[in-house]
Amino acid sequence: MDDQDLNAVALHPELTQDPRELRWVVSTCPRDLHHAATHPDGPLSGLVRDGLLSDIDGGPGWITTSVADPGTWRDVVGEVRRAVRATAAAVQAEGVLPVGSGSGGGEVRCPIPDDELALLAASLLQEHIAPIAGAHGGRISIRKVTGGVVTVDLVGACHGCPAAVFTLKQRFEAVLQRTAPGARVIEA
Amino acid sequence: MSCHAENGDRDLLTGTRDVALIGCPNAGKSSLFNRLTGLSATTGNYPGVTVTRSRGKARIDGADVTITDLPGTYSLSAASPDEQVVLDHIQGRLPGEGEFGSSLVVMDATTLERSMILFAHVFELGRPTAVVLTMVDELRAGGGDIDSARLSQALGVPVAEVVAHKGRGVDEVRELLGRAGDWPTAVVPPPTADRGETREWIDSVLATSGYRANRPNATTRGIDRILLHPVWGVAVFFLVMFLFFQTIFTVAAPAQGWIETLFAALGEWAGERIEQPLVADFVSTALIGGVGGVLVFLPQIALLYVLISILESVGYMSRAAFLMDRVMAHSGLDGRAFVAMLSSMACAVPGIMATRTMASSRDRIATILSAPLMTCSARLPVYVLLIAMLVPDDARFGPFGWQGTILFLMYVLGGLAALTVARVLKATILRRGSLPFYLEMPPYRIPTPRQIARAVWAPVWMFTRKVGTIILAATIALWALMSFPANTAATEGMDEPEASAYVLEHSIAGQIGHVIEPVFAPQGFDWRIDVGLLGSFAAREVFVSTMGQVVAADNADEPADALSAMTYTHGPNEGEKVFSAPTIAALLVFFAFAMQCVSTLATMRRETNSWKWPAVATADMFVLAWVGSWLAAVIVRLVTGG
Ligand SMILES: Nc1nc2c(ncn2[C@@H]2O[C@H](COP(=O)(O)OP(=O)(O)O)[C@@H](O)[C@H]2O)c(=O)[nH]1
Ligand SMILES: [Mg+2]
Repeated sequence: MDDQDLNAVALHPELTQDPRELRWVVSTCPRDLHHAATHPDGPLSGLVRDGLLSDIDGGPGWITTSVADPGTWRDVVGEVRRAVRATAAAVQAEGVLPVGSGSGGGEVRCPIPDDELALLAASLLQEHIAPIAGAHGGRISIRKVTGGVVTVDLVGACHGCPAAVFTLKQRFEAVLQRTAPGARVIEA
Repeated sequence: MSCHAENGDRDLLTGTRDVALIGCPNAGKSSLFNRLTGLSATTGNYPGVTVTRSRGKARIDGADVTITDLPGTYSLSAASPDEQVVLDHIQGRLPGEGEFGSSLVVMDATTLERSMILFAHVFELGRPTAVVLTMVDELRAGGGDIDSARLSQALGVPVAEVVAHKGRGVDEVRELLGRAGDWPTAVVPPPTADRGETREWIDSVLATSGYRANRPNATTRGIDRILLHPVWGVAVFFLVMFLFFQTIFTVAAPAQGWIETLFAALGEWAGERIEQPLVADFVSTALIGGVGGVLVFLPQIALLYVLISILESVGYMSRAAFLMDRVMAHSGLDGRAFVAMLSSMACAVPGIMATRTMASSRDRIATILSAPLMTCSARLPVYVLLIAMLVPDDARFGPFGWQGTILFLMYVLGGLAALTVARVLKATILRRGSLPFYLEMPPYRIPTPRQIARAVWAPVWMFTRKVGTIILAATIALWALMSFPANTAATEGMDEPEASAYVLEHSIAGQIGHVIEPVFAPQGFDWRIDVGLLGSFAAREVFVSTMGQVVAADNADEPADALSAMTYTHGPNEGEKVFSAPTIAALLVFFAFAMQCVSTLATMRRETNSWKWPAVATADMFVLAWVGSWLAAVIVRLVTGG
């Protein structure tokens, strides 16, 4: 990976239940964007002061923005996109660190602190993996997150069935790596 | 349109009932269209198969939804005429049409990134939009993946997965179509103005959807190492063609024999039952000898289309274009022109239509003017008849038959002539104007039997219909011209063959033939051949039916034998055989070069929007045909010492 790749920001907006709210997915950065998005000196807060936006929020890999009353998304989306992008770019730039371990070494894009990885892992587990485990009469839970490695417990029908363990663990890792490249999942 | 359709009503109608399939070339739009509508739009595994709009109806929950299949396009800025068709449709610029309804964007899952830009532009149009992902079978088989539920959320439109040519997932698409009017419109259009932002949007959507591209297809790469090799690739191409033309005589001939037997039996049956002599003559001469004489070539036509449909559906066309690009460069055209020329092996009409994918209008006209020289399926009956007279069917060298070899050479001759004409045109009246050419190389795909069957059935049915319409009409006209005046007084007392020869010679057609005779005397064509040539300008096959009629009185079942025995009736060569080697060679070359097809001229006129180019083509091809056939006669006379 070269520098440009590391600083590349990729984002797209998604609709939410609320027609005035857009959820920006920053696929290059799984880190919690809440702080940066709502920071009073940040570009998004500026748009709130200018009366373009009414509300901002953020979480792991996402920022939501609500358009202020008289405006429509078509009018303001360009400006909001640039502000979201700048926010995400700032977080990513601060996150680029050399890492010694992991496959291949070198640098990973936007490495994620363990506490954020734990949050992310928990939500992805809930959304993608738990239903499958449930369908097989089992349960999977997170024991701890250290150094980018998520340790899981497998309970119930999953336990002792090598094939099931393999696929569940693999699936979880794949889903996790989609947003947190370099993260690993191991069984306790 | 109804007179009430003014305001909201119309929106409701078009909005819910009119869906356009928009997507990159070769994404599977036509395959999906066929599955939805039950129609048979042409499909093929190379870009540029669809160059016009087809419309059909899909019946969904008891209501009709109009589906429009469009040519493929990578963007909404038209560079070539086929892309213009897409623009005209979505901008509602076609006469009698308003804005179109909803867009169904068809995206090839194995090349998803490219389709995303097109999606962005289509979604931006502000019409209700949904997405169909095709080729998901190939994506997953190659280790790729996508979460289409997640993709749907990221794009903000419904997404359905299909395997279009096999019909898998089409039910889901039908369900979608049922609420086409309610598909989302873009609240936030994807960023299209700034390339960087577009790029970021695409990356993000694909990453969020867990998109993983498939590995490049190893089989395809392996095959391409040979087929795209500058030497081996060309060698294989010609070898396959050569072997194919061998089969035209060996495989198709028995089937032809059965049809001949059938017609002979029909003739006998009719002969016993019909009393009225004129009617009996009409049936045995015009119907059995003439029209039947053309219909017996059905097996050859079918076989030719089996070959063409395999070439097209497997994915060879793009390879041929790539291979020939270097050869074509000598002609001043590019590989894309070769696709049009190869399509002309079926018929020049689709060949000319295929030039719509060419962005340079000069190149396009040069290709349109040269494509009719490629050997089309209408020439096949004429060639087979003539070649059968030229060399006996047991003439062989090694394992190969001479008949098939000569047929192959006729196809080569057509190809060389087309390239030469293109070269001359590009060097003179159509100089410059070349644009870089880009043709995608799809992976090899195995066609379903249904695809092949459809691809063969359609032209076979067309041929049968042509025989029943234009060829029948021309044959009847010629029969009348050759049978009147009846001269009953003069022929009294003559035996039958003698009498019919007398009637023919003194008929209207006979007199016309005698008038033309000097024009083609250097080629050795006698007045009867000239009548046949005249008829062939209605359709090439009419030559076969006319010759069949000429000899029907002698031997209706085996016209080739009777024709071989035909002698000059007067002049310096009186008593000698008409169909000698020089004459046959001249005829073959004449048919290779002459423009004898009304549909081709009409298509040329429509595609170039002027009568000038059809006129140019007719003139230059006639000169080429006359000079070429004369040279052929001279050369063969020298070689055979005749
Ligand atoms: N494997 C696979 N092949 C497909 C699928 N859909 C279409 N094809 C093939 O892809 C080629 C192009 O299809 P066609 O419908 O002509 O594409 P169009 O140019 O978009 O109209 C043909 O050879 C089809 O048989 C699909 O879902 N899976
Ligand atoms: Mg098509």
